[in-house]
Amino acid sequence: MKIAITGMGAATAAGYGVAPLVDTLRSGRSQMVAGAPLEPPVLARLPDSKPGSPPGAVEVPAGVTRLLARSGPELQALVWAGMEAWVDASLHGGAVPPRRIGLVIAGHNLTQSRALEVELTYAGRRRYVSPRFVQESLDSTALGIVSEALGIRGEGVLVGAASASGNAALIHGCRMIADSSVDACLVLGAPTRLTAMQVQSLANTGALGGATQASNPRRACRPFDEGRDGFIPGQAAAAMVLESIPSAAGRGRPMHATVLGYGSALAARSGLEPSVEAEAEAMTTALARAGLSPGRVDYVNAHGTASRLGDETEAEALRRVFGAARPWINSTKGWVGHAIHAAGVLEAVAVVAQLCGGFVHPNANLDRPIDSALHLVGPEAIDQPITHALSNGFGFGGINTSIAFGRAPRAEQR
Amino acid sequence: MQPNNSLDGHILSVLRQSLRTVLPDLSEEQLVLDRDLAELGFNSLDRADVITMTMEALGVEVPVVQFLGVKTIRELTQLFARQSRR
Repeated sequence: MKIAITGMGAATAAGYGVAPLVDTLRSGRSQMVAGAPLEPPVLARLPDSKPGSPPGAVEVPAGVTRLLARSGPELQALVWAGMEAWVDASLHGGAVPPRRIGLVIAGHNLTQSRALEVELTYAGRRRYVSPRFVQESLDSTALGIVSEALGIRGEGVLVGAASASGNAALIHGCRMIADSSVDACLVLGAPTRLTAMQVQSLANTGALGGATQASNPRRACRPFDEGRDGFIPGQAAAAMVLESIPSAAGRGRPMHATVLGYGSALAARSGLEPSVEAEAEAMTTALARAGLSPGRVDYVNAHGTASRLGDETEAEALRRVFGAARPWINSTKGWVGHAIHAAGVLEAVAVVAQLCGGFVHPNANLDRPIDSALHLVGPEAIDQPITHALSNGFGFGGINTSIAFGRAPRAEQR
Repeated sequence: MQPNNSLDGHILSVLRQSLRTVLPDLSEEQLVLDRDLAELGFNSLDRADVITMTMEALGVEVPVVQFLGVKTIRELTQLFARQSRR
């Protein structure tokens, strides 16, 4: 299997666009800040200022512009990232018929913060609740807004798999192309807004980090470091246009990179504990589908949340899959935080940027690596051509995913 | 034609505010009494949104069924005025 990647977009704490994200990752600039009351102790926040239009902007219907003006920053970031990828893939020229373009949004329970606000605000005077609320409170509202903004008329769906939602959505997009349901598919990672009780509950499980480094937020996120104390949430949206090779070639569209295979495995476990077996199974399946032996993988973008047990488990799974092969390993979450539902798409964008740029980005705050057998990138980026890479994504519910990416053949590179 | 007393004037100003919250591109001059809401670009959900917003701002409750035949800004103002006088 081989699917082309022809467009990318991102909105992160580093700014609006793929370029500021790549710059942050390459130069190793932490985007973490201290949280306000009821927020996580440390987080990476989308920029306060509302974004202008992405370069080469799409003409968005007035109805969508109005809706967005009344929407929160999450929806605005989602649409922004989608438009950037859309223009990057040159889909705005109408080269692919709207009916042959799909839309997959990664994430679920996206509206619960807003829904809770409205439930509390209108509890004693429910007659005045907006008639739009019923629509706003359903995740599918994002499908409607993005598809109207970009004129997408093929298959559309949300894919939910907790922190593995991004990878699961990319996998679904690949299947839609592989079974010819669509020729191109916009996969969008949706920003996640946790409620105050979810934040506290995560803190109570011990998964949420930052408490020990709140006064020095940029030092707080430490994937694969002995001093790590949990994951740091990062607000972000990310976008990727997947396209069939014949469609991209037929319209003379150079590709950034390719998806070569994927693996997804449940751990058959209801708790929050990660599973070495299921993580290794996801990676092994992705490699087998891609026709790659472990020795041909140059780089792994780890799930690497910086949670105590999570990193330890992933390190063991990586040792088990790669043995003596020792690919480079880093975690994008160390710089821009854990984007939860959007993480898989965001990290896929990071992987492709590194494939195209011939480098691996540094790991954040990796002073004392938990495992000397793993080839963890240090404090500086390393210039290094990458031909094949894996990107891991694991989610509550015992969900384990991994996607294999390949550098575009030289003649087809952008 | 202007509203005939201060209550109607207040209702009209609240209503215009709701109308412009839902469709911010409309100018004040476009929101004259006899304009048809559909012609101004309000679909059925927009109208329901305007009505709920205005009810909240005025602190009145009007059964949805009463709004079924209402087409113009004048008719809306009159309906809210009747409810407010109760």
